[in-house]
Amino acid sequence: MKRYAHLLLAPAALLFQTLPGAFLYFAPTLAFGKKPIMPESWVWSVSVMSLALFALAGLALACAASYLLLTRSRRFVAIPLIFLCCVPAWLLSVFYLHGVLVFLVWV
Amino acid sequence: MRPGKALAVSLLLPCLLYGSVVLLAGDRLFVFSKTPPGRESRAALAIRDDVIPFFKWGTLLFTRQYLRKHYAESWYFTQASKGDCREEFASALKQALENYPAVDLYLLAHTNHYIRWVKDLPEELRSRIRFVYNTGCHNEPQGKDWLALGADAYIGHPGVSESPFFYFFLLRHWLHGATLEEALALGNDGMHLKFRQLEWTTFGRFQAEALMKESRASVVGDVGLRLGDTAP
Repeated sequence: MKRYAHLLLAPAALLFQTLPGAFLYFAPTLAFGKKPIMPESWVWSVSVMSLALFALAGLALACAASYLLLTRSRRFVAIPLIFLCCVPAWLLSVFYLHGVLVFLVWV
Repeated sequence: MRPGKALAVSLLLPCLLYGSVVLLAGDRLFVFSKTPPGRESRAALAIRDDVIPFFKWGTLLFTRQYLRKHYAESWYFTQASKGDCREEFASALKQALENYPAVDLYLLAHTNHYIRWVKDLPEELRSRIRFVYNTGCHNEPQGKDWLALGADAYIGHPGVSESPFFYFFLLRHWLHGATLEEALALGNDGMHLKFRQLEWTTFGRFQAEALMKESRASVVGDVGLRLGDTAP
């Protein structure tokens, strides 16, 4: 089983993207729902920090998965897994990252 | 694959994808950009109306830091119901007008009449209102009323507009030193690009030209105004 553990990292990187998705779904309601839990003065900081963490963690996971696939698996296994799992995970992560950089007025 | 090559591929691919996201967003990057001069002489107020939480959240995330960075003082209000924040808004506006020679207003709301909240202020204070941007549908004709009230320039939309697309480009370019005329053109072009992308991805369900007809923003007043021009 340990020999194939690196194959699981790519699907895990893709699965991880459900977390920022869930955050995007729930955070607005926590901040501006009928019974807001988060004070408005916190919303910007908490949201941008969370999105930044999700973006960086997503990038790191997908990069590690791609590296391990390319170094430890045969090409016919690595390339489809990278396209199916790592590329969507990267795309979503860089999308969140760009959002964060825009919100921070850095780009 | 060799580790060095694998590492290079694994780092290069996300960089290429980031480039494609930036290209798709359709706007240039403002890396290490500086705030135009005169920050200490200007203030801004923004108000978001009572919409679904996701829209309130997105507007706040995008707007707040831009205002903080480019204005000496800024106030941001999110309404929880129609008419909410009236007193707070009027009080903050009065404070801004008393303390700064140039005050910009961002009315980030559906069809609105915030102009009624402002008209009771003394004329000498109202004359310090510099630029008003109104996202409201059918609020373009308010321009002449805002100018009569003392504003120098006003941007609005003519019909049932998809103004968030325009606002994204307008705010970024106006705050980075473009004139209102330039920011308006860039905003309309950027919005048009987004509509064409939408038309393409929905196989024509959304018609870019029809959306543009309703949404194309226009400016009245001092079209050559820049953020750095602080004297109203």
